[in-house]
Amino acid sequence: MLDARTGLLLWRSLWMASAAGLFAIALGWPYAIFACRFQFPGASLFRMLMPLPLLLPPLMVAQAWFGLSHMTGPWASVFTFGVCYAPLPALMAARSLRHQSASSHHAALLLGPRFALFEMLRISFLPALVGGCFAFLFSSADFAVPDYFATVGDLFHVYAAEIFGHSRNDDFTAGATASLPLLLLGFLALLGCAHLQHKQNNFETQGGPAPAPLRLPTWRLSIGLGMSALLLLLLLAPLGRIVFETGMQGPLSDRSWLEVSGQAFHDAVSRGRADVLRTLSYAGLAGLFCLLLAPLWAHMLLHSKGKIRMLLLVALTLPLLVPSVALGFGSILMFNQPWLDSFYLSIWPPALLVAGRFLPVAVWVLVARMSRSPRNQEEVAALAGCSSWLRIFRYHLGPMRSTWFLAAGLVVAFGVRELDFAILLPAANQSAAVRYYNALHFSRDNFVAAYGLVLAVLLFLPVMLHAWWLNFTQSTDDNSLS
Amino acid sequence: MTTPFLSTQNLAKSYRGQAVLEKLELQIEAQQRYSIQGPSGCGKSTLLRLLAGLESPDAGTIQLEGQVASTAGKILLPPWRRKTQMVFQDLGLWPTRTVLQHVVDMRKAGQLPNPKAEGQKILAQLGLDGLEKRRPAHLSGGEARRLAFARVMAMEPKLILLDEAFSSLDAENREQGFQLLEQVIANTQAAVLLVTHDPLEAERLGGTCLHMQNGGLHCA
Repeated sequence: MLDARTGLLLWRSLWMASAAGLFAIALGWPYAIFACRFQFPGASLFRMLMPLPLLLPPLMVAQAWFGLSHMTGPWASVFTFGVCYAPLPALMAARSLRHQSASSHHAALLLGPRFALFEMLRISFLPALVGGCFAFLFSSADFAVPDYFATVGDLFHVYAAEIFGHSRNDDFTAGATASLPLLLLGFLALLGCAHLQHKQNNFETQGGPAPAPLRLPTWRLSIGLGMSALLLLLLLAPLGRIVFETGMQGPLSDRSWLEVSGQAFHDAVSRGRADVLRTLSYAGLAGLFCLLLAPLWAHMLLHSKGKIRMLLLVALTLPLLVPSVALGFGSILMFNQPWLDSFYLSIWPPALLVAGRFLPVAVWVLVARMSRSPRNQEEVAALAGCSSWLRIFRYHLGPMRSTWFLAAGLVVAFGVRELDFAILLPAANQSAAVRYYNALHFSRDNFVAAYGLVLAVLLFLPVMLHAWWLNFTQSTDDNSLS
Repeated sequence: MTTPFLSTQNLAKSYRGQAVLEKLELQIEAQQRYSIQGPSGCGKSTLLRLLAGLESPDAGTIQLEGQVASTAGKILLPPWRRKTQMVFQDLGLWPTRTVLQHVVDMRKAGQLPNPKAEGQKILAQLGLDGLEKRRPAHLSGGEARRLAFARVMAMEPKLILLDEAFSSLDAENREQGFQLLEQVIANTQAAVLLVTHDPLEAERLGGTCLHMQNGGLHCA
């Protein structure tokens, strides 16, 4: 395992992932600071769009940027990962900025906007770094994007592709063993992140009003333009390119772009429907699991302290940081038994994998929201003799149903987006992500682009519905107030 | 007749259609003490935020040393040019900065000489020497309050705004807080405006006592 070739592959994966993590911080950190804490035209829209690039399949982003710039090689992968995972540092930093004490912000503002900005940078630095660590781990474990750039350009390999390669000769034990270095890396990074988060807890305040966005009239336009450029890079350019590719055709074609695009979408829906439905069935089942499990986990995290909380956090987060391919190999080794045949080929294994891997996402979303609701609401219910079950699901989650459903919706979205273990597990082979992967590798026709966009709509749906619901309930509240 | 350090004319502010301040008139003379009493939610903190330039009024003007600082919907003189400092109820310390960095930052922002040496002197004066490298999370309640006042002292402001700065304290700690304030006033020669819901605090500060009612100010 430790021969020169393997060492070289590991080294390449590590530097690529490090560069991707740094690039993700460089894009996501300023995005969060400006979107959350500065006043400029459309700031709320930028905040709403912040998580969306994370939901786009990295392979689709790679396809789009190759189409736009024809870049290939390791740096193209670094760029793609940086763009895809920039929302991680952005979301982490945004969370910490919401927890900055309003009065400490105002005390800095009394000294000048420069000091207020420095204070924002300091308060959000560690969370952005944690987001960068996650971006590093996801990038190091992804084989599909480097594989794509190696196919369309000069050949190069990464360590994750080496792990995945063991599936070709059905050597799942070797695959699981080869995953160990990345597993160890994930564990170490998780411990590092937990340490950083522990340090960060001293800097944040719970409750109290959030600081108001900074008004700098002379900079409004520049900030708006800078943010638009960032959004173009993260979301609009790749999506625009994919839209364009749905109607792209050869020079001899006499059909219009609209005709070709319409046909591509028709093909995407008719040829890909069965795969999308199968994907939705196991991802939806995973979402249902998380609908039930995430509040319990969130409740445990909010009510635990010290080492117990740290242990719970590590246990919860580890499946997310383990390379997805390794989870696939592990599942095959565990469930591919003659007496488990019908279970192994059913939608249960992918549903359980999706639920286990993406439960942390749902729990974090809920913890962030639940920690903002006054604890005494639940305590009053406890004094009235309500069971824990009632306290969590009626009094705690009752007023935050939209966040609860968003948490489960995100699990569904990430389940639909998941490619790495879907390729390995027979029960998930006929899924939307695998069809997209195969279609992209075997042809670059309009179908691939249209199918990618259909998936993107599905992936964006939970976040969009949540934003719409929040706006709707807010406007209803305002109407009832006035 | 001398120009007051700060004055407001017909100041008004409302939130969600509900008027908090209405036609409010206030004059603050240099180096004088003022207190404003009123029940919670009557707009005392809003008034301080308007005076500090953290928010703009809906109507009326705020003048600082004869210059219009804020007018309806506009902040003409930003907070950092008002020579004003504020002590918040929760102190508003910077969690990522050390004790020494708190005072050095203030002096640097005010372009005052010898930020580090003077900063250390101020910390020693307020009994914070030896704690220079600590961050706020590792200070006791009393030390954190001393740091909040050290920060104000470092800036040498002309007006100190105190937003319920002693409200959460017991009698003994409140008295220590006032002694600290006296020290800061003696050093900076600044005017002081304290908002509080406690008549005893207003009495302890001395100077002019005002009462806030129905969005306006009346002599207590």
